[in-house]
Amino acid sequence: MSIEVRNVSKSFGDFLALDGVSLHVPDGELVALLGPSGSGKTTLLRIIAGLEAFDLADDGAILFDGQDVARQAVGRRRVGFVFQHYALFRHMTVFENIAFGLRVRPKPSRPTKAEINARVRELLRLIQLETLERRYPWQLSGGQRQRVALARALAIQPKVLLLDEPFGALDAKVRQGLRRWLRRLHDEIHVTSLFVTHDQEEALEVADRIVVMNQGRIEQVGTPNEVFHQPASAFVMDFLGNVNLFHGRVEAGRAVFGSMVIEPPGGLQIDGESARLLIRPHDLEIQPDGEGRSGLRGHVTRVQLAGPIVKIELAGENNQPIYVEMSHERYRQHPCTVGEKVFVTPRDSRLFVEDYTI
Amino acid sequence: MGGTAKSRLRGRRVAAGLAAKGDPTWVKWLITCASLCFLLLFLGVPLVAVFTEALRKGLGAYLESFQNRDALSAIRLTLLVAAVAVPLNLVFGLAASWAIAKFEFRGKSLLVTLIDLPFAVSPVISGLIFVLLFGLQGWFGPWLAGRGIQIIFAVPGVVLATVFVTFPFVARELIPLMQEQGTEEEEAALVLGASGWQTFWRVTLPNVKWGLLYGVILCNARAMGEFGAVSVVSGHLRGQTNTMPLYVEILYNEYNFVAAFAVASLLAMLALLTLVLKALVEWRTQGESEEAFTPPTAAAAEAER
Repeated sequence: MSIEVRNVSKSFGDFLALDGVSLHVPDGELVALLGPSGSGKTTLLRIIAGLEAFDLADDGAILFDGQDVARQAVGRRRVGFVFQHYALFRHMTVFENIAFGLRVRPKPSRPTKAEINARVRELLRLIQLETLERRYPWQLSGGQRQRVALARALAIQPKVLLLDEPFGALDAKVRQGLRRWLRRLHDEIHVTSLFVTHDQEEALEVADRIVVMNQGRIEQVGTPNEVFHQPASAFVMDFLGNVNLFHGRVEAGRAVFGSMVIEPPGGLQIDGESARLLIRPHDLEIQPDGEGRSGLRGHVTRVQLAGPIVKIELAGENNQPIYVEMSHERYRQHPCTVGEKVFVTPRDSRLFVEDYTI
Repeated sequence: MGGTAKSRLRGRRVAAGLAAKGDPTWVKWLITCASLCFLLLFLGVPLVAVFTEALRKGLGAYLESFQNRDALSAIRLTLLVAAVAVPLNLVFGLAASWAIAKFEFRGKSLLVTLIDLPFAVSPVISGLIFVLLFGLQGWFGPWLAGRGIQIIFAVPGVVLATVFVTFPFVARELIPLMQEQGTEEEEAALVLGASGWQTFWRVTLPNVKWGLLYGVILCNARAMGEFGAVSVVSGHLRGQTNTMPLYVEILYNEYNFVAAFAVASLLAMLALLTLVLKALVEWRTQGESEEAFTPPTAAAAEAER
């Protein structure tokens, strides 16, 4: 089932949480809503679920498979919702928690006891917790609670699955295992899924597509590859991974950042405008000296060799910190020591001048 | 309730800290003895006195005190009042705490303050309010009298005054509990397709059942023991509007000490029973919240992998 959000706004008092958001989630995809806290991603998720009403002005609409569900009550949308803190029923066992959605169905459509049992057992198998069906939520670890919450949401055979920060409350190790598991699970059951996260790594790893949100608006929608390599805005680039940010001006068709000059093909027409240059740490190269090339001078302040890559910190002009990452192999070819004066050149960068992007 | 469990734990730690600092044992003993003596003097002795006085002329005389019609009618009226006031306040308490804990609305803080009103005013004043409203000289008195309805100096007045005095108990108990639990579980139930009614019976109510019971026990104890407000509106009509506490006073004023203390002993027993039930419920809820605080067991962590 596809989800379509059409021009939806939501304000809480004076605060505009969503500002005319439109989004299309194709059938069967696993999509991440990524953004910092306060960007409106959870609000959007709750509006899709029907837990929150959107502002009735304008022509806002929520459509499931082309059908308007805005006026449909929460319980009738057949949405599976996994809450950030799981919201398991504390006085019910794991089994009863999962069975809940089936037991509360109105008489005519309610499955028989045997059917409910079979369905719950099947889900327990799916989440690999068959032996814990008699436990209460407080007797489970965080990861187990998360899986029970997911099974409970899947029990009603939802048309769409919505997950609010599904791994937010777990420690790093469990988190990684669980997100791979979620990816595999999605490949198995193929229900249209939308999950909220503020962790870019999580989004890049799990999702088919990523929706980057900021201040109640959607900044970019694309595959993990697209949003990472072709960020539509400085915000997206900054939010997805580390970046070095340089401020400069446009002069004679070129963007000037101190001793570093970026000359876009075709040149820039807007002289005097301020420009921002974003460079990922792994796109910077360190050389002993510049010899008239465009780049930045600095001296090494820190070299971190532990870990899969080498991380080097430099102090540039005006002591601006510059972060460089490279492979161990490359570092062995050009080693550097703390205090050494070096020259840094970008291999790749992105220039943002007002609305103009390269 | 988890809060009390935690603070108790903290108390224990502080005590241990003192002992570690080598506080003299005699200080500990002195403080403990002082508080025990105080308790004995002001709670133990009166309680014993009630039962001694009641049994002064033997068990026969004690039991005979309950044989007469006035005594029986006082007991019946007390039970009737509690039977009306407690369920009413149970429903009101649930509704009020639900509204306050789960919804945002204008005038919420006013409602919270109003719920505390009976605690804030003297019970005698509460009684007088009802006399002012429904008495023969009161606002609605003449209108009601014209239709042959008597409230003041009659059973309805006694019930009304008791309901008023006891209504904060259940709500006060539930509001913090429900606020702590939040609305996520209810939302989860609604998303899963439960109706509002199903959500209430299957999720909200089971989650607060021990707190609710606790409130009901306290409410019942107060409903049966209320004196001030009831005294003002009852008119002390023997066999008609006398509740047990009022009846005790009458007997005492007539120098009928055995009967007075015999009836008083019933109220004392009710108090003791309430304390036991209260302790049981507290023990139960504390157990639950401690379970909730227990970190996942090693086995659970193992199963995680």
